Amino acid sequence: MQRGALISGIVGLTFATVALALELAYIRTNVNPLDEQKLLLNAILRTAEWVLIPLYWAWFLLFIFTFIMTLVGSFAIRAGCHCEDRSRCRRAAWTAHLTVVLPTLLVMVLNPTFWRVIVDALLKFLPHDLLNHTLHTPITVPTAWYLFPPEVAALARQSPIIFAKTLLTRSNRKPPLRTNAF
Amino acid sequence: MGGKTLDFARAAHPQSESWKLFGLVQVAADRTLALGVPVLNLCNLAVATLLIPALLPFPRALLFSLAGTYAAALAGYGLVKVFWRKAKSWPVLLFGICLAAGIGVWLADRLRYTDQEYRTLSILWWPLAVAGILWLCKL
Repeated sequence: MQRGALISGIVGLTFATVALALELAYIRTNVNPLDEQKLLLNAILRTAEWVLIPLYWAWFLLFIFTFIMTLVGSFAIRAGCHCEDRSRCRRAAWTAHLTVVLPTLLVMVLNPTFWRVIVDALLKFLPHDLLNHTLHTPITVPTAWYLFPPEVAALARQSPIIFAKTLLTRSNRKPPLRTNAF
Repeated sequence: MGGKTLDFARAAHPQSESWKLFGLVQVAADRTLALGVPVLNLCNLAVATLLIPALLPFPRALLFSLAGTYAAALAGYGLVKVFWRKAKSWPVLLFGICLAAGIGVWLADRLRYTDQEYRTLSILWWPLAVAGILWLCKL
């Protein structure tokens, strides 16, 4: 892996260990094994959700950086290029963009596939009746919408739905009657 | 490749602040994509492996196997340290024996309470998952 992966791994796993230790500490003692299993599943799922929080922010930062790259790259081509042939600068910027955007798209496709395979394998080989009856109490993941005022967040969350509804309404609208006058 | 391209671009325009900033943002995006996202996914994978001991119908066999593996690993490490480097490393052996004894006492205490088998098993499983992920990160 890339240089610095070990340090990042140590930091990430320390975070996960602390989250797991805190969740395990909350499991009640003196319960029967079935209840203990359910409580443990809850602790594991909640730990996974704790780890999802930095993962969510990593993806968010990646999109932000990519967006800033687009702006700065376009500015660099216009204002920072002193070449006679400006297409050289444009090609350099495009190369930098593509080397970030294409792997991002690849990871975006492969990541859910990877997790789907893992989950299917786990559910195939392990008795998972308990998962359907677990006492799961999900944690609240602070998403990027918390950075915006509630009205803006609500509007932004609603807008894709409104857009989709508008599209559906338009597609369901009956075509006007054509009168063949001639 | 993007980083190298921008290095050349910055070398061609040494006075330009915009190319410098472009390079910095590109490195930040690259690091987030190549380090942040995969490492956190691996951390979640380690957490997901905890489902294996948590969903086992009979945890006691795995519990004893794991405890035995840890004890054997510690004892083996101590023996290698002593016989390989002779008497120089005897404190390491002492440390290993104390640690093994501590773990043994703690496990024995835990195993008296049958209602905490799964939790003990998860605690024993976690170092294995962490070691596996760290090994992957080190590759």
